[in-house]
Amino acid sequence: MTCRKVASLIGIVRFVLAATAAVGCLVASTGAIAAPVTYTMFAVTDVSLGGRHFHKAQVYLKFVGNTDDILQLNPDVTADGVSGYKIVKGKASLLIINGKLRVKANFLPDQLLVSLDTTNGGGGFSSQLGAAHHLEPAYPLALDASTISSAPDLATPGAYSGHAWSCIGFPVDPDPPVGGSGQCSDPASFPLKTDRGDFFIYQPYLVLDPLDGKIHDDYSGTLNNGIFSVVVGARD
Amino acid sequence: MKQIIAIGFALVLGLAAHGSARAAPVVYTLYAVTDGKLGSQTFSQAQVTVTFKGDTTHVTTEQGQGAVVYRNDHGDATVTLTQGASKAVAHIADGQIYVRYDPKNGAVGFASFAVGPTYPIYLDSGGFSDCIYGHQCLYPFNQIVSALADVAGYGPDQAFYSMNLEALSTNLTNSTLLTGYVDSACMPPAPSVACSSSIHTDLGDLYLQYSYGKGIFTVEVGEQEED
Repeated sequence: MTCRKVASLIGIVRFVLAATAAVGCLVASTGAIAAPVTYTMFAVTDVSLGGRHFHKAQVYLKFVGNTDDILQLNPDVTADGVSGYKIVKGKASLLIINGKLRVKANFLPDQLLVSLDTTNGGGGFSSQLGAAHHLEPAYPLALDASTISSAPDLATPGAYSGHAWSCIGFPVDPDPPVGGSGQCSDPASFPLKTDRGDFFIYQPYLVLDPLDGKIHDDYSGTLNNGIFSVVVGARD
Repeated sequence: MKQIIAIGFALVLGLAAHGSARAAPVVYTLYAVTDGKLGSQTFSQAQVTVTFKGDTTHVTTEQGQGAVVYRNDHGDATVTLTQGASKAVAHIADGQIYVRYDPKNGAVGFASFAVGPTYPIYLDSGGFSDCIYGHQCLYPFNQIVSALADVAGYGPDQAFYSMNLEALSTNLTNSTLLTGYVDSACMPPAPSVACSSSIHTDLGDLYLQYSYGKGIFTVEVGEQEED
């Protein structure tokens, strides 16, 4: 039990640093042998697609790319020395299952990327939002702590679990060194474009500081979980 | 008179019909990443999904150690293992597992008639918080199943959680979402692969091992999409 706590706390620090640093990371090709790769993220949460809201829906995000396109974050040239990987080139899609409904949609190009911070232990489906295309590491859906922190890279097959975040403005911890707002921004201003309309994903279940109502921290601030998998070699 | 005797007998056994649930199909599902063995094949870091399809009328309550435990003993259960691009679906034999939710102690998942309530797989608080259910917490829980137990035991702790947490309360007859740390333990304690009583499936015996990770448990009432 104690080990879990320690691991969790390490995860907090790690992912916060990752999110802070990732914006400025430079990248280099990993030189991986070319092979098809499929990333899948699963969670049960609230989403909206094309103006239709789904409550407690099974949400699957999928990104199909090639390992040859995985880029390595270079710690030697980043201010915080963060290492990790990202892949931008690929096709992303989503599946929503809600009762008897099953809705599929394809993301338009350049809506999503998959990222992983191996220094600090967090990753999943990220985006670059707004006119400035600022990186949102935890939107639409990323994990931190738990077994996702043991993911070695984006080219090794595996499945991982972790705390699920769908948060614009992550990290949010108001305490130093993050100095976040303690809140996730409303995604209404940042639609992700699909062939079935705008997609939004929410973070309905939070842990709060009773004194000011802000999100507890960047690890235990969410009550939800997710599962992330990397499959290499299988044609979609 | 016979009815009174029958009810009294049921209470002595610790089982009482819930009685308030309207008949509706229900699907209980637990999602996790864990290790184990199915038939002759061992698996590691596989996505494991256990699904149990039943009816809400079969939800009963069990009284034990001051806690009300909800359970559903009747249904068709399957386990789906996904590892890489490989996927196996095994049908769990009748009378092997049941659904169990202990809201007071913050535990939900699938229990075995032969082994006990902590096997083959369930979700709990993982011991993350030093908080004790029923007492004021200084530090909140970070999983839904434990946050609900926290608030049920000490109402003012609701201040730690977003208001919509309350809507996730369940007695296994309403749709909900519960999250927790994945746990799996033989009783008496033993390595899971050495459990004397395995879970029988049409693809061989199933064993699950304890693994560190987070899981998801859902209750879906009403007609669901067919596989």
